[in-house]
Amino acid sequence: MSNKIGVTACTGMNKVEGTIARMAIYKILEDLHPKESILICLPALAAEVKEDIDFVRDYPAIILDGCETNCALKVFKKFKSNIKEVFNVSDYLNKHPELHPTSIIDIDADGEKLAEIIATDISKKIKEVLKNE
Amino acid sequence: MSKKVAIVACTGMGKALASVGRYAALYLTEKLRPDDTINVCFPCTVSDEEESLEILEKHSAIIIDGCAEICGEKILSKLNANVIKHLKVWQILGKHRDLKPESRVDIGEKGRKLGVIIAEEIADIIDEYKGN
Repeated sequence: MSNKIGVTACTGMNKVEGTIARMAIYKILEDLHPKESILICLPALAAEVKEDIDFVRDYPAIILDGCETNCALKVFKKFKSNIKEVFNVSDYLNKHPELHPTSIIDIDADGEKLAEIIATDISKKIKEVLKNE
Repeated sequence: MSKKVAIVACTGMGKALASVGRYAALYLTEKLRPDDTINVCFPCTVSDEEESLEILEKHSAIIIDGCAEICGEKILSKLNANVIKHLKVWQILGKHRDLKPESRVDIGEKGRKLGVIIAEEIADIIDEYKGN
């Protein structure tokens, strides 16, 4: 039984999706679920940092990938993990054509809105997972 | 090896200095030296995405690591990449103690200034590399 859930974002660099993914996960970690969520740092996991491998082994996880390459999911599959859900920013861009985030270097207003929408959905899933754990 | 240089920032999320490293890489590749650099998506590299691995085969690389775990360096050493410089953000902060970033979510004005300093330092390294 776990009272915490690991969350990770792809943190990609060349597309706006990576910037939005980071911001959505920060909203989970700092605003919506500071006590129930733990960051699994994707680069650290890939580099086999012990703390992150332990988190992946010990806690159920929610992944937020940025694009169809699904890098975070691919990295997680290299380790023994308990993935509860995989969200993808590109799905939300398709669902919200009224939003046109463009800035990779600093998130813009549309990117913030999309990050908020994604974080809200992830938050619902976190509550569901923790209720059933 | 092509004279375009691959820029690899660790893109870590746990520490503000990793966010500064990400900002520095983006500032360098988008604004300061877009013609001399290629921004390598580090998560793509760690998930073995072909395009990113090809960039690292063809181009020399500069790594920007955000914390002492040096994930960028660990991964690129496994890939046998030709690394011409490994920058550690915390060491550069040590030379500019007044530029401590605000947080990992928003590095703030000071963090952005630190990022620009790092980008400028890398631009000098690229000039030297291209001159040789």
